[in-house]
Amino acid sequence: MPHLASTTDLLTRVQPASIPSKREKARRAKDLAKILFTAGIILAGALLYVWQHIQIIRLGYSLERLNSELSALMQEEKELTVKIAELKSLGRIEAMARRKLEMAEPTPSQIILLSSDRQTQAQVPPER
Amino acid sequence: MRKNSSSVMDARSTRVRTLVIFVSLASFLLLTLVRLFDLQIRQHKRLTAGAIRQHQRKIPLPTKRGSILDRNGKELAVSLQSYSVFAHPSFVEDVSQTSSELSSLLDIPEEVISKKLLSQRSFVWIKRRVDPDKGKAFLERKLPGIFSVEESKRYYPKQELASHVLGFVGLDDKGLEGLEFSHNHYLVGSTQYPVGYSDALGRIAFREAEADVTLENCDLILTVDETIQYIAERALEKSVARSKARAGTIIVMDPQTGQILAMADRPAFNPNHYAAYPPAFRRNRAITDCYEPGSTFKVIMAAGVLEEGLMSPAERIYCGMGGITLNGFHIRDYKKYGWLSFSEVLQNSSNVGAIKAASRLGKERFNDYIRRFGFGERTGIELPGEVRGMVRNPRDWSSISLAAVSIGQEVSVTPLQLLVAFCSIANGGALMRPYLIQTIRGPHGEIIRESSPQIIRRSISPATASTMTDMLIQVVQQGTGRNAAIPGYTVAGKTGTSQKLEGRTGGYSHSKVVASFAGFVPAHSPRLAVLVTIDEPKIGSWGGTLAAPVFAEVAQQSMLHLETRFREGDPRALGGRRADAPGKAN
Repeated sequence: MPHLASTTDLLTRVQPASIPSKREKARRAKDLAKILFTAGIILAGALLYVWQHIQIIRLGYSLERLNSELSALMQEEKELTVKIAELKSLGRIEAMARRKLEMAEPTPSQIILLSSDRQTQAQVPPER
Repeated sequence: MRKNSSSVMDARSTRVRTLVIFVSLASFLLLTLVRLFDLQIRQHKRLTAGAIRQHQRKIPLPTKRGSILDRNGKELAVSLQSYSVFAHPSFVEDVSQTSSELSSLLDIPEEVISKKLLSQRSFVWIKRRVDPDKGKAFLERKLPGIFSVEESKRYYPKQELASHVLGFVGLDDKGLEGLEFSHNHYLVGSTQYPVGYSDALGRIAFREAEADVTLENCDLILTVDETIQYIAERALEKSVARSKARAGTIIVMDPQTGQILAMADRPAFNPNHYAAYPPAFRRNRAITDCYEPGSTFKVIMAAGVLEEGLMSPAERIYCGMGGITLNGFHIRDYKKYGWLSFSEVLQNSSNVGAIKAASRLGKERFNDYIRRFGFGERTGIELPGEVRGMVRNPRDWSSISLAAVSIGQEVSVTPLQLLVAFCSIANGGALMRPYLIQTIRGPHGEIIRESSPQIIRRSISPATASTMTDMLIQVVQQGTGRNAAIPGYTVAGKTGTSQKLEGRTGGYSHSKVVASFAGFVPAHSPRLAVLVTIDEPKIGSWGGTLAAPVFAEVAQQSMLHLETRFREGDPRALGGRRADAPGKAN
C-alpha cells in the first residue's frame, strides 16, 4: 500500500511555492520588468558604444579613400599645370608662329609708333 | 530505511559533484585572474608598446617643393610626384625578361639593367625620378622583384629660361644653385608625419589630427617678368652667336624700385638636365664674374666731377692729338678730338678728356664716389655666390691709377653692380638694393615675406643725376651709343669696350675685349635699365656695335610689352612699387 501523505503535509510543502498570491505575482512582474528594462538600457548603451566605434572606423576608411582621391586629383592638376606652362612657353609659340604660320618680325619701316615716351610720361607721373 | 539511506547517498553525491564543479570553476577563474594579472598588470607596458607598433603608423605626407613663379604668376619651377624604381635582385625571376621590359619602359639600355639585376647586392636603384606617365605604366606591369617608391621631381617647364636665376635641385631634392639653393629652406618646408591607425591588412583606418607645422613649403614669386626675360635671352643669344663670343650677360632692372625684371647669361643650361652641362655654363656671371668695365665707368667719374661742381657739361677740355702719356704709359683715343666739351668727352668716350677731368677730382674723392655707387661691396641680391668686385684703396694706387680707373681699368666690377650704379643716376641719385623675390607665399596662400624697394644710400644729388641723364642722352643721340636709340623713346646710356688682362703677360690683350652698353629708357622717367656685356667677341669688338643694338632690341620690345600690360589694366607695368622719395635716402 502506497504511503499517502497527509493533507496537512501537502499543504505545508506545496502551497507557499505553487500558489503565489496576486500581490506577490504583481511584485515579481514588476521586478522582472525592472531587470529587463535595466538590461535593455545596458545593452543599448553597449550597442551604441560599439556602433560608434564601427562608424569611426567606417568613416576613417572613407576619409582615407577621399584623401587618396584628392592627392591623385591634385597631382593630376599639377601635371596639367606643367603641361600648360610648357605649351605656353614663349620659345615654343615663337617657333610655331615662324614655322607653321610663317610669321616674321616686322622691319623697322613696317612699324608705325602711335605712342612715345611723352605719352608714357603723361600716364605715369615722373619721379623727379 | 533503505530508501532513506539511498536519498542520503544521493544528497551526498550531489554535494560532491557540486563541490567538484565549483572547485573546477573556481580554479579556472583563478587561473584566468592570474593570467589577466600577468597580461594586464605585469606585462602591460610591453604589450601596449607592441600593440601600438602593430597598429600605429606614421604617415609621411607628400611634401613637394614650393613653386617658383614669375611676377605674373607664370610657373618657372614646379614639383611633381614621380616614381623611383628599385630592385631586390634576389627576388627577380627572369633577369633577361625583366631587363627587356624595364628597358623599354624606362629608356635605359638593357645591358645596364641586366648588370644591376645580376649584382650580388640586396638593393639597387634602377632609375630615380621617373616621369609620372612612365611611372604609372611601370606600376601596371607588377614585375617580380621590381618595386617603386614615390618621390618628388623638379620640372622647369620653360627649359633654359632664367636658369641662372632659378638654379637647380639635386637628386635628394635639395637646391644646389641659384634661388633653389639660397631659398631651399623656404621651398622645401618640413615634412609632416601624422599618426594613423592601420587594420590587419595595413590599411589606414583613421588618423590623428595633423600636427601644426611652423614652416611648410612656400612658393617664391619673383620680380622677373617671363616675357622680358625671354626677350632679353633671345637678343643675347643672337648677339653672342653672331659675334662668336665666349659669353654674354644681360640684366634688366626697374631703376625706380631695384626689381630685377630679367637676368640671363650665355652660355646657358637646361636645369631639367643640369648634369649634362659643364660647371662654366651654370655660373651666373652677372654676379659671380668681375670685369674691368672700361668706358662705362667714365660715368661714375663724370658724376663725381659734376657733384663736386668741378666742371660743367659745357666746359671745354683739350683732348690733345689723340693720346696722353703718363709716367711712360701712353693712353690713346679712338681719334684726334682736339677741343671737346665735358659732355662731348662722354659722348665720344674720349680717354684723354676723362683722364683730365678725373685729375681735377683727385683719387680720394674719386674713390669716395666709386664707393658711394656701391662698387667694392655686394649688392645684397638674394642669389648665392655674389662677389664684391675689386676696388683698391687709394693708398695702393700707382701714379697712373687715377687715370686708369677713370677709364674703367684697374677696377673690376660685376655686371649687376654697374647696372645698380646706372639705376642710381636714372632714378635721381638713390642707390637701390636690387632684389629678385617679390613675395614668399605660404602653402595656404598667406604672405610669409614681401619685399619692398630699399634705398641703400644716396650716391649723387637729383640735380647731378639730371645733368648726367642729359649727358647720357647725348651719348645715344650723337655719340658712340647711336645703335641704342629706339624710335619713339629718349634713351640715355654709355658704351664700353674694355681690353681684358692677359694672364701670361699681365698686360692688356689686343684681341680679347668685353663690349658693353648700359642705359635706361625713357630717359626722363625711366622704367627700364639694361646692361649688356659681350665677352670676347670674335666678330666685332665695340660696345657701340655689339652691345648697344642688343640694348635697343630688348628695351624697345620690353617697353612695348609693359605698355601693353599697362593698357590691359596692370598698374605695376609702368610704375610698379615706387622707391621712397629721394630725400629720404639714408
